[in-house]
Amino acid sequence: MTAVVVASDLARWYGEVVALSGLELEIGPGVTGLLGANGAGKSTLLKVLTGALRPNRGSVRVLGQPVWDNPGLWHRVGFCPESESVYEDWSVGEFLRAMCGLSGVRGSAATTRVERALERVGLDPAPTKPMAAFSKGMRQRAKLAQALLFDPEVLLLDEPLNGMDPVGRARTMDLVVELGRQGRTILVSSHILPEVEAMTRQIALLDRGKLVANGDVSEIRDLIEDRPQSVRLRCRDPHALAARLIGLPDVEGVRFTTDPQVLVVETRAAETFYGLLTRLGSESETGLIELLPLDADLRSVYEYLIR
Amino acid sequence: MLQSILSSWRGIRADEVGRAARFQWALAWRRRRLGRSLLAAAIPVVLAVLGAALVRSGWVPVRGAEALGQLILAVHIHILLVVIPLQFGTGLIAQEEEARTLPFLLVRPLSRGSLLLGKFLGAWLAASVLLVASLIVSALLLLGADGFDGAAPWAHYLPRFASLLVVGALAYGVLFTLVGLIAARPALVGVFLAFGWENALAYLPGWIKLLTVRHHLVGLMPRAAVPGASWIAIDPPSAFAGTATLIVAALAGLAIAIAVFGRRDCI
Repeated sequence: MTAVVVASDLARWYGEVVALSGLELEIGPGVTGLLGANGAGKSTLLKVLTGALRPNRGSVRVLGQPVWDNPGLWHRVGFCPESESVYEDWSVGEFLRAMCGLSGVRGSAATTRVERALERVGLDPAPTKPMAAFSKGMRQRAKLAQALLFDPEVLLLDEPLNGMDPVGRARTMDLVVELGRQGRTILVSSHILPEVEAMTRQIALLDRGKLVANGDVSEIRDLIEDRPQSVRLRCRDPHALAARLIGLPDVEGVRFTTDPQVLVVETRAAETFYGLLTRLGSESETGLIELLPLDADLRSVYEYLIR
Repeated sequence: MLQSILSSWRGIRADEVGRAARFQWALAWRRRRLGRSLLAAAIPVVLAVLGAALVRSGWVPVRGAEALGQLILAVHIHILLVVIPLQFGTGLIAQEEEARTLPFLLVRPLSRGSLLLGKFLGAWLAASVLLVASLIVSALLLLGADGFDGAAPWAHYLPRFASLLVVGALAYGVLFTLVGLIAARPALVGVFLAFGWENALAYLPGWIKLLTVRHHLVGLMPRAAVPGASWIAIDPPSAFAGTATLIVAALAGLAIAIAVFGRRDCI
């Protein structure tokens, strides 16, 4: 992985409150979900990455460059802040044109960029009403549009889906996934796990200012050895299958459920177990109808690591 | 500190400053921000309308030119010249922070020094336009009240008063910008400086009055335009000394403000 966003021994504190503590993080191209409970350090990390805060210790580099007071970098990086605040008096077009103006782009070049950004987030390209009259979701889209104005290589999105309606949410998630597919580096902070899961399997999980996990959700799950993974098996004869599984080295336990066709197996090595099932025989021999990992999803991983 | 000031200034580029100034200029004329400034700038105009009516009626034995001198001294210089820069200076960054719009500005390709300097210049220009417009409208109303009789010297006085307002807005603007960056409660500290410090110290004998903006501003004032107001300053400086002192102080203050903002966390 080519790291695009790198934090080394990053520490930041506010008085006696430690927000980030010795954080080591590398983010490569694609979409990465930045997860963590309130106070985990997500927002502080994004503020350091956008040069709003200076680290007390350590360093951050984006696209190989330092962040602090490095204006050249901001042609290549887009940021969508968490707060829903916008310039209330301005229409979204005026706001985006002002942002273009601050970036040195004016006239027809600015108009083209504004129209394209608005189209991408699904906002009316010729709105005249001030953004004070915007709903929360429309403000989010306006903020996202300003982050996309210059087609950035790196996008830092702080809770970009907050307050959006389901249609806007789906559209934004599709956009993020598409941008990730194009090879851009996107760091999305969110506390809504299903949303992150819909956009990416790649996560960086923070807890009390430290990086707890960074990588693919499934790979991280496999590394959580103190928690056996649960796999739900639907089969014609659960008792017969259980008899064949019990005692096998990778099977920790077997339990039946209220559903007479369902068996839950606990294993410490899911991949090996899936291979084992294949070796046990064909579907007709084991009576296996369906196999579903129960706790290899983002929520389970999150809960195991944080709680 | 000196090294910090120099390094902050090294990152400043004229085109970036221009962009930030245009941005702030556009922002200054929007409804919400403009409202209070316009209201303040309208006060002397309203007073001038009333004054002109009184002069025309002949109920008070005052000529328009005399009333104008008093109005400028009492309202433009003592109130407006302090209130408008207080508003734009303390709010230059603090208002963006309160409104949580600063992150949009920090991720634009311009240095922090350019951003602050440009925003300051845009706001100062807008404030100067308001102050001078208010001065000219007030002058036209009051001088016109008695058919521009005795208005001839004002062809000389008005540019002097306009310069005073522009230089004063610069000096007060820098002072309040610094307050906005350093003080925990900029509005409160600004009001104290504007109406406590400036009023109390400008008229004291000795060197301490040199620490006020007003003392140096009086040097720019055409005192003949305000007869009987010799009390407004003790040992006033010459127009050149007053202007030079305020400009040098403003440049130094701006240098410090840029250094402070360049190193400041924006939470």
